[in-house]
Amino acid sequence: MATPNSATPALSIRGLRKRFGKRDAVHPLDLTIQRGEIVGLLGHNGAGKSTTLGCVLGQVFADAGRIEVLGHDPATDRRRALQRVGAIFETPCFYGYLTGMQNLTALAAMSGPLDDDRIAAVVDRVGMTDRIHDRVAAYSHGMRQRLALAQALLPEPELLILDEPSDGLDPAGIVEIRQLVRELHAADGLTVVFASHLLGEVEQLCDRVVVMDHGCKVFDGNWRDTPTSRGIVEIEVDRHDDALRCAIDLALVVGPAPTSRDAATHRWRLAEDATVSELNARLIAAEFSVARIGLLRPQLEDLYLSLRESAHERPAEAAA
Amino acid sequence: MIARLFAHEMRKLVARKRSWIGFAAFFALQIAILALLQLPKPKREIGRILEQNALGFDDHYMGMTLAIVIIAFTFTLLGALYVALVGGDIVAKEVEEGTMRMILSRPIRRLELLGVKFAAVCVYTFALVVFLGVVALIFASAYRGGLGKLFIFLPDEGLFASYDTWEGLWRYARSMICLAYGTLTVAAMAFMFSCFPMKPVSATVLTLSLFVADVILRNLPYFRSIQEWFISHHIGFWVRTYHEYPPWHEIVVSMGVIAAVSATAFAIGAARFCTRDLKS
Repeated sequence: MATPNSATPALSIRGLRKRFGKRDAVHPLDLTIQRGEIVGLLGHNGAGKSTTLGCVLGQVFADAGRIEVLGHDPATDRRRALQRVGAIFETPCFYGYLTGMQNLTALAAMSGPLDDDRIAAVVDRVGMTDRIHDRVAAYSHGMRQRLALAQALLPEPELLILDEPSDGLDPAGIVEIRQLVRELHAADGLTVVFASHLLGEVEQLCDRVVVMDHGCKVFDGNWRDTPTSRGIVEIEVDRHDDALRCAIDLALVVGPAPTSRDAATHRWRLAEDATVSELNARLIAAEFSVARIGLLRPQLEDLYLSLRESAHERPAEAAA
Repeated sequence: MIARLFAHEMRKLVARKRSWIGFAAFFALQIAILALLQLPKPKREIGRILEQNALGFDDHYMGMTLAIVIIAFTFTLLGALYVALVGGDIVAKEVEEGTMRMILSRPIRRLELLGVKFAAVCVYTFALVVFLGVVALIFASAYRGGLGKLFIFLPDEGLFASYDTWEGLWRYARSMICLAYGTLTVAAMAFMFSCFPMKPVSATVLTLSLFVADVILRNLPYFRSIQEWFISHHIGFWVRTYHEYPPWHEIVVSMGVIAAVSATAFAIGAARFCTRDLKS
């Protein structure tokens, strides 16, 4: 067996398949995450995100496929595979009758020897020093989530798996978690898998996203670099249909873009060499009244929704 | 690492209120039994049995004899209840509350985790029985003003014996260890059910149902001839250590059966848990 090193991917999944009863939770899934990446894992409820992460952590047994975490198979070499992995789940669960510190030491005992200084440093890092000796039953949801982050950071992780870490947090808590993940990534080069329904959060943290739908991977790449978000202008113009026809005739626009948000604002797809200022000038010259025009800032939501639409169309096409 | 895990498991067990219910219940029950034994009618009944067998009331109606009365008539079912309560919780409660997922994101092997949990349940069982034995002896001795001689009379077991203080005390201590050992079977059964995908209360109820059904069947007159088929017969081997000449062969067989049943229950539970998917 090759010795895992820094060239080994942080996570490698090949042909992962899992069924629950008659339902396919994960179809054959291939996914590689290199060290130092922050990858967003998106999908609706039941898309297979948590099952995939469960398989990675050895909580769910795969029916087929091979997983390597930091170069080791968690099914056969759990200790080495998960030694430097931290994980948080959507609902942070602790022993309410123990203090935060007692919870941390109990969980730390499962990762191998850890000194008190390391625990104190982690507690300080998540801002829990003042309350760490209180019983967890008295903690707010946000404090539990911080404690969950602390337990995930205890083993000095190289791979951090965050499954809905911002769930139920107030806006300040969400920002704190995001900043902490950024800091960890910048300081320690941590690899982060960030599964969330909060697209805004994923958008701010991750360049690469993996989108799952009904157990299948339907997108894997840099979401900013996709046809759905490249070369789209948002325009508010009178006599919209005429203006669009004019722009197409002038070879400045290819056609309308699929997702327009409201009746007044429209989205057009720019031709390859066209610019927004040229389009604006030509429309004005053609006596259209342009109230607002600008290049659409790429939004993850657009990509996600378009993928969802495509996913819904697939069964209909198959039926046809 | 295993020692550290075990220490934390014990800390969890100690910190939980449910773990103390058994101790508190037996504490209260012992006081209640001693108070009831102060009533004239029960006292007269014990006196009558002692006199019929030419044993002095004042020598034998003392701490050790009362302690045995308390334990023989309370522990069989109540002890099973509290041990099953803790044994049924030990895995299922962690799964139900979601802490198991947190644990299983750590590099610990499931079998190691179960081994530690099972060891903790065994220690709890021993602690509960030792507590019961010591407290019963202290309370009963304080109530009667001394340990006195030990008198034990259990017609169903064909047991009638009387020992002086030191012999009685030695046999009492030995029987408590045997009782704790026998009770491990209940703990192991509860642990086994706790490893299956079910609620903690279901694991406790299933264990108690099996145990009570076993006791009922064993006590049916038609099944007297096949007593050794029932686990409660073997759990009750602690009583047989009070015979003047204990039936050691029978006792060793019972200990073997208890070990085999407990190990099998652990193995079944472990096999189920180690192949289970754990998802929210």
